[in-house]
Amino acid sequence: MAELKVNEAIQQPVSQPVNIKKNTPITEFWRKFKRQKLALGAGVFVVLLFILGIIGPFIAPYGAAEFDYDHILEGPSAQHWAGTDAYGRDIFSRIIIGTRISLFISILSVLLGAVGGTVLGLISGYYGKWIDNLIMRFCDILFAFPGILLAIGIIAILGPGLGNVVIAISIFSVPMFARIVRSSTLAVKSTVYVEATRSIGAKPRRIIWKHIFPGTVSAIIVNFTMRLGTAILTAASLSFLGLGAQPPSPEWGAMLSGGRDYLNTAPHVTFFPGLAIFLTVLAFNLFGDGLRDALDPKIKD
Amino acid sequence: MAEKLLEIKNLQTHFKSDRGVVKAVDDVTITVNKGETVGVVGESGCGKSVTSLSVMRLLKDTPGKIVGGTIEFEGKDLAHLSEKEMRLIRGNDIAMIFQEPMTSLNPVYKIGRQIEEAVMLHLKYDKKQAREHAIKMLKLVGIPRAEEIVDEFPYQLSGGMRQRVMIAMAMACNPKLLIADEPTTALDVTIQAQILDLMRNLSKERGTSIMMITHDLGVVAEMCDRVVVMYAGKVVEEADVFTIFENPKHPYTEGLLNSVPKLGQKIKRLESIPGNVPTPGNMPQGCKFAPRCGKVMDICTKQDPELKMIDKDHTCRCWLYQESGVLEV
Amino acid sequence: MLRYFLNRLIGIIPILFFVSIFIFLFVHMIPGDPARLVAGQDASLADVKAVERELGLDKPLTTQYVHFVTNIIQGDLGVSLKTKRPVFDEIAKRFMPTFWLTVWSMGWAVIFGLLIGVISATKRNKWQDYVGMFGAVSGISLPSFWLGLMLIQLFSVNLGWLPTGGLDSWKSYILPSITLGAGVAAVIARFSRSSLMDVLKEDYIRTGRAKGLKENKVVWGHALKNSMIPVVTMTGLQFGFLLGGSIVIETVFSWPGLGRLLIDSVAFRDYPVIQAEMLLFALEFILINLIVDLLYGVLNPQIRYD
Repeated sequence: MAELKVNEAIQQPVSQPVNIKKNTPITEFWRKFKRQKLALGAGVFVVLLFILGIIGPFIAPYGAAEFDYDHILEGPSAQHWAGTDAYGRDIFSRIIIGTRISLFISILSVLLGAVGGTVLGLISGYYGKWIDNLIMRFCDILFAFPGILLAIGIIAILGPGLGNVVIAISIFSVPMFARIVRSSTLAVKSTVYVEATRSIGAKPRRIIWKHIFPGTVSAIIVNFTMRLGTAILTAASLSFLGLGAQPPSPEWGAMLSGGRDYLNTAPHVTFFPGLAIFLTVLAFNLFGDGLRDALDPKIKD
Repeated sequence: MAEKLLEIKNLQTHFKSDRGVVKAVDDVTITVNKGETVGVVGESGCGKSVTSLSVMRLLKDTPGKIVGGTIEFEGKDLAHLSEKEMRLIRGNDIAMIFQEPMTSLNPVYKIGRQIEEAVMLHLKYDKKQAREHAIKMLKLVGIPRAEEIVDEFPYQLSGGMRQRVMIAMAMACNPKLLIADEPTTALDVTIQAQILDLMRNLSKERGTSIMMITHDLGVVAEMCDRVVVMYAGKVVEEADVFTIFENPKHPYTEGLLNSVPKLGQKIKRLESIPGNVPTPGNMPQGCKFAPRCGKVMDICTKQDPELKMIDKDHTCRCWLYQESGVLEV
Repeated sequence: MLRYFLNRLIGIIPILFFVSIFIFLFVHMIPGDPARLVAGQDASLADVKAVERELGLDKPLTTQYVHFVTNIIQGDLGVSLKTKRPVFDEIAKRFMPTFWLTVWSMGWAVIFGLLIGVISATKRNKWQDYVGMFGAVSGISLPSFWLGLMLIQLFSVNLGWLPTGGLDSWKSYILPSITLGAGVAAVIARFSRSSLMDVLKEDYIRTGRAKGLKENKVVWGHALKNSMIPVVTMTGLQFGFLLGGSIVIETVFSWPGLGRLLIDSVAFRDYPVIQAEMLLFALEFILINLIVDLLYGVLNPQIRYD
């Protein structure tokens, strides 16, 4: 039976019109990303947060430790937009100043985790064999503990404090990045161009950094963003439990924890720091979702 | 005069995307008579599958929409039926089988259940009757051990067997029209012939009309009474199967036939049609085939020809057979 | 099936082994002398030495490890530094409240998560989808302790309908389980939506529609079971999240469970309890993963059990 083979390579399904103008990956990414209004808005919010993180202490109307015993536990007003706490400190100012702490902790810890995980994942995926086995079993063990439990365990060893929170969060971020990078590495490793590079005798380290690592970048970026939200939540939880930032630090979780005793009379002391955490994490998650949708080649229009 | 069963008239199905509207099916008219097998032929992306999905009104999960024309079936216009009315026709009066037997069956349900479902729905059989009917259908399509297969899962069957199951499922409610969208493309050559035989016999026995969507001229020669050739969302030629093979008129049809080896004919090499199918966002002006056509004339790149009757029961969309001086623009 | 089960069971042995080493070394990673910690800050050197002998800390690490594992198997988890009672009893007492809290949370998280996920997937890009998915992304962004405090503020303080904390009656379960389940419900909703949307693109869904089935039947009958296979796996993994989340939530609601015991123990540096709890949580997590694997096999007829 004869087959009709006319340009089989050009099988363009009708439902997916091809792009008429040739787009670079970046313009293509931007085209897809800007369509997602929510993610775009979240991205703007994230940028504003970073600006606030830098200039926060200079624009806050009051100091983080400015006591005013004449105005304690006052609700929101024109002077104090988010009210005052048990020491008469302005909650709004403390939230602004605390932005820096939350962002710094989350970025530092996820960065450490991502670097560690990426290196392990690249090694694991590229070399395979026993080293792959070793690294993956190590990840299995870390995965055998719920993230926050591992963090609490680590803090139980190292003692409470923000620095130890960073270490704890970065350790439990490692296996996730390691697995993602490993699977991307395996996928990229088998592609023709890596085979070709290897066949002309390139060194492993060069192949990993020049050819495999770039192929895993988009997966790392997406997970990095998503992980930032989780890190902020975890850090705040630990501070809330009294294991992270200690009073009088204007860390959001610690502020919230301090307001618990006044829940009946002054709910705003817990409400506003919590809202700050919520909105920040929400922005990172929405932004991450948008990045993922725009970077994922599987998602078509 | 043969009795008409399905009459697609001036059908237009468009796809909306953020890069613009794509006219996947653009003014297509196809008639299927009772007991007849009509082949719809063309390259990938010519709109033949979209035409069949339009008839079934299965465009729901695509960005496609019927924007014009009518699909008359036994006095009803399918293009304008409600979803509820359409459901009574799907699987009952019109059944469909698809290209991919490997993925067209639900992997988590037993074969029997998937056939029974339609039978219970349309023929109002109870569970026991439906099961008997399913086994009967499986036997009818030549599946050995039908009593056992009925309780097996799709992954336990080969591709050819699965396509037989699909046919059993489609024929279970004794439809008047069977739409087969590339039913043999994914199968081995030897299995292809068996499946085509089966379909031809079933349609003869039961008087079922078939609309055969294919890009394979071998299938057309073996199965069809009449052939509709589509290119870039439009019908370019229509005639009975002998005329198409003996006396094709449209350069595209000729090209298709020349790219198939003929038995008993010594030729040095197969011809192929130069160029590519135009992409939907990049349609040429005038005749859509003009950029690839060996007989292209001035007018072809300026104005699209119409589908004209050039002989008895033979239509063609080409300036070669139309007065080319009528450019009125 | 039995072989598959045994294989999976054997497969967790190495993980158990490494986890036990990890937890065993845990106490040795603590800065300072554990014997000194047990004996108390004011104890004499002789007392510390006695405790060291008693705990076997003077023996080589391998002997200590064997001792540690044998004790665990016999149910001997040591003695709490704080209450001086066996750790096993302390944990046993608090196991059930946490267990039921997790079950309640998971129960309603699955129901609401699936419902939102399915509605969003079938009403893709309509308002239901937008509301559902915005709700879901909010759900994973909510600090659970804050949600808990706000719910207490509203339902206990202002309206007085539900208790603020503790465990007295079934009413005590409502707020904590909602708080704990919210995040999981959100994750399930997001995941089941994308899974269902993938399945709805499959050819056999089109076959179902071509049979003339109602859309509801296509979604709930044909698509859901297929889309549930990855959802079950993911939901199982969320149990770990629930276990972790319960630590925070129990503190918010003064819940007499394992989570609060852990936090109290960390504050008191009650290492035998912390060690036992880490072990228990890890065991539960591994066990749940095993159950999920088995369930996966039940749902998917195609999986080969060898």
